Amino acid sequence: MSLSPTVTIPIAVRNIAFVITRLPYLLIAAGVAFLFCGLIVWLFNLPLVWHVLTELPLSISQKIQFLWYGYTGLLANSNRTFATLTIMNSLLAGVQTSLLWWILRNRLHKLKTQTGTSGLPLILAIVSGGCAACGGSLLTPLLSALGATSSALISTIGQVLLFVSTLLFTYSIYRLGLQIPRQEKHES
Amino acid sequence: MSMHTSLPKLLVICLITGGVAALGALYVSSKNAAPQPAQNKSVSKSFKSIPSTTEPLFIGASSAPITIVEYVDFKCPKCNAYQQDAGQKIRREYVDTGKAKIVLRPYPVFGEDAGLALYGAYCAASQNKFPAYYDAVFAHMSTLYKDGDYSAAAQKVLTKPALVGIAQGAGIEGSLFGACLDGTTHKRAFEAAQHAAARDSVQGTPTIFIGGEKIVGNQPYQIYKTLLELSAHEP
Repeated sequence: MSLSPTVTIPIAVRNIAFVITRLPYLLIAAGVAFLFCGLIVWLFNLPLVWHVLTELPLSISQKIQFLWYGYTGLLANSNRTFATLTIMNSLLAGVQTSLLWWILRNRLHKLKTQTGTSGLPLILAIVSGGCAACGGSLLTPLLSALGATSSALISTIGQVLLFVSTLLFTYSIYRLGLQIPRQEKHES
Repeated sequence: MSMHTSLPKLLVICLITGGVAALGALYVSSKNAAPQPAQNKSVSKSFKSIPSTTEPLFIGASSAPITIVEYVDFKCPKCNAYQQDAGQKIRREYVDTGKAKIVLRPYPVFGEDAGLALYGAYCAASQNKFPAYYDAVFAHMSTLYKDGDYSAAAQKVLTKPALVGIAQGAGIEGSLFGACLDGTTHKRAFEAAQHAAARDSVQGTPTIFIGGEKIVGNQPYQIYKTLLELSAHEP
């Protein structure tokens, strides 16, 4: 019997809050969001980033500053809708990874204790094809990256793709949130 | 300590260790790079078509030590944003002061009229008015791109009459310019720029090369400035 969204959404939100308010998971979410955003803003210029980091005669602070300029460009050089969607996608990617990690960790533990087998196949399945059961998929970040980078050429299509990926991220997080009660919530 | 409880901590430790390692690598690379400024002379693998002194579309002193190669389309909204912001600052601080020159290589993306407008750049250059034409076409497009509305990019807005009007406003002799647009005098130079784009692996606009470094998209001025300063200090 399936429950109505008016029942499941508050449950998912509570579960997500339960996980994300724990410091290690908050750090994972923040770290992934920062890296994801960095990847989006620098994706077209990764060879330049590599060249700057490894070869150019700049001090360490200048190199960090150079990378930071990419982030500032998101706010300064993009329209408000695009910048908002990119930041939102990055944050959602962080939350999704954090929740996925929580679920994966619990499943691995169960698998190990119940069957004594390795969790490697499960990890490979999730990493390669996405986690259909928990709503996490590699398609979402791919769409997000496509949307963000295509905007350099065709901003409208980029924004549409980013919007679609925001919806997919949100749905994925909702599904992940519903998976959490099945895990052992009392363990961190 | 069980695997169950240690995994998130392990990940956090991995993130911190990775961060420290990245900082360490940055530090080592900055130490290694400092005594060898000649390394900066190496041109990126993606940049193969070094500008020659005979390229007709340039802004600034031909003897300027730094060359900025711009692959642009006048109709491209991001090119317009680049030209209005970072491009203007580069012109003021590096081109107008004789430190750098800009070489334009046409890369039409937004339709047939974009190609015509870029072809018109050669016609303007034949009257020694390329910089004025460059500014005038971008200024014209920025009036169409007000309030974030880029629908004009998909419309045929740079028709021959429109271009002649823009050229005349920039001090270019209209009838000569119009006749040039109809002709094929600059066809080879125009096509050579397209071949150069293919050699330089250009896939979109704006793509800017500074000292051989490729910068794709409209980026903050500081990124161009950093590369310009490095180029300026090359031996």
